Amino acid sequence: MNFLFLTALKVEATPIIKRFNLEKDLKTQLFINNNISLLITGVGKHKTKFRLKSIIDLKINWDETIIINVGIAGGEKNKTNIGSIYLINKIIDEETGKIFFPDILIKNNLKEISLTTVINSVSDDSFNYTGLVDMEASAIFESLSSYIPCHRFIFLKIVSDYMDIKDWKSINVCSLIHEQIENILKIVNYYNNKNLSNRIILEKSEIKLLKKYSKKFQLTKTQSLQLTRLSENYKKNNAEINVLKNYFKRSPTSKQERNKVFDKIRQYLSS
Amino acid sequence: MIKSDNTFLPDFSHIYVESDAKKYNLTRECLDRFSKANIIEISDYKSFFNRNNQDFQTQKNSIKLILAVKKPPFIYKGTDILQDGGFRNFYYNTPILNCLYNCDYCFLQGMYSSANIVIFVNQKDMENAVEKELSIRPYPNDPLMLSISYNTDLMAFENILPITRSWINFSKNKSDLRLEVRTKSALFNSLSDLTPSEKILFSWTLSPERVVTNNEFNTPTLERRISAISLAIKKGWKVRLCFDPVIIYDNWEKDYGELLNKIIILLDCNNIYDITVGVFRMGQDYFQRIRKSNPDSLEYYKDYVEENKIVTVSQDDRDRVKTLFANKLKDYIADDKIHFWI
Repeated sequence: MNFLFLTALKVEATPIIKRFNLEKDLKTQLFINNNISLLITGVGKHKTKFRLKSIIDLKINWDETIIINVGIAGGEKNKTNIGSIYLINKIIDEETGKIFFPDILIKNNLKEISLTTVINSVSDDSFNYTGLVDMEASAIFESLSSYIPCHRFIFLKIVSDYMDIKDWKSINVCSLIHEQIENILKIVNYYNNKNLSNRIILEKSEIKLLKKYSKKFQLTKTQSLQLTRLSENYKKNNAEINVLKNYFKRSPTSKQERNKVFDKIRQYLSS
Repeated sequence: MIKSDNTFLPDFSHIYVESDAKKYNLTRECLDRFSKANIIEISDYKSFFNRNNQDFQTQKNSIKLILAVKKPPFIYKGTDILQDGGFRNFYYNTPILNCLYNCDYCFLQGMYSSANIVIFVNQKDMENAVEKELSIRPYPNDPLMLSISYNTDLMAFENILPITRSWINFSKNKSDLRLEVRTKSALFNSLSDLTPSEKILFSWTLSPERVVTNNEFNTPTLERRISAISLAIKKGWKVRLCFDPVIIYDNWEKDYGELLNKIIILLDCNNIYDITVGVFRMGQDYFQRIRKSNPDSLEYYKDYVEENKIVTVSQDDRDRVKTLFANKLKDYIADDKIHFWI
């Protein structure tokens, strides 16, 4: 599996960059080492959405990517402990009222809690919120949920304050994350499970090939759909669809010839 | 798919509870039963159950429970695809959505975007709706047949929440109400203390062991199902046997022939209420949705025919199924007790 860490602040990212030996790719601004990468989104929903939009078109294999948002969060004084790490099971966007639920399917050793994503930092009215408070999680879920299924979102929040902080510089963010780095590593290990990747039948390269064949043979729309469906059946039952290349070597000279060849393909794939 | 990957959390590790559901007895009973579960409060079950981009088969590795309050309608008229068993007042309800089992031919994978299980805790509202429908049923001289296990296998839950028992008890003083409990469960012993009633019909689905293993994941073995049926018949309950769907594969006739031989030997055929036989059939839209989701099963990647937006096996295969069952059962079960949905 591939893991894409998202943090709002550079100081939140530093312990992760060090632990996984990530190096900055100047072109994409991602910190990368093999299957682990990290993006610093900036603070707040708007910056987060903007930064995530910029990576959508990168050649990221979303089919096998797990999103891990790591960051600090405010917590309720009586229910949370400063320095503790929590796995988020429900995200409420205070502004829109939308609610997001990551699917928690994998065994782990973390306590769970809900989270509210707010627009402005909270420093005086903690009694309004149950669970934790951050400024990015809902934007992450909303921006990436078209690409990532619910079971591949992980939100890890470390309590930095009880929403009563006047001087944010007094919080040693780097140290808070660093203290939890082994727990974060454990989560990566637990989720490094092929069963979590997207269930695809035809690889992107195979879909591309079928499109090429359809174009070359000027297949009708119905024939193209049939070709894809039969190829899927064939792959599920027999493995590789490379055999098709023999049928598509020479372009047909007439519709009749095309239909004749297509009929042969249909028979072969159905056999 | 057998649950062999132990990296997944156990089923019901999380229970999502609608705020309005908290006050109901079934909710309390369920939360007591799973006291170690993470409880997450939600305002409306649909906000969790109907989320975009869920993966049904991945979720099957760790099913979550949702406790919700059902809103009207509480009872539905039977559809064409649902077998009415000859009852003109045929209805179904949905005390639970989704199933503990994971049969690869099941339409639920196409019907719902989530594999999580919804239990509606306002049983009383559903009972009231049945009472009301009883009084206005279109054929007043006929009883009302209610299938209570349509979008789930209700009896499979009996050790978790005794909802089948509740419905059976509810039917006791309703002379015009009949209940059908469709199941593959072997948990009949959890109901065996109840007094048998003519009004209740237990419909057990039976398949050869090969189909149980390859297609009916997480279900009880054939042997356990037959034991449960045998006990139900002995106690005096009405039992329907469902061979539905009959799965077509190389040598299916041999396996199904042996299954019927076994049933003739092990069960008292004189006391079987009736038998239904069907083949794989599914609405085109559900079929395509499941196919697209790439389940491990190969059932969605075979050649089928499409008739009136229903995907099913060829007429030739349907004829062979009919012939096999008619021939095998003719000496043991009266013709009018065998119903083909083919």
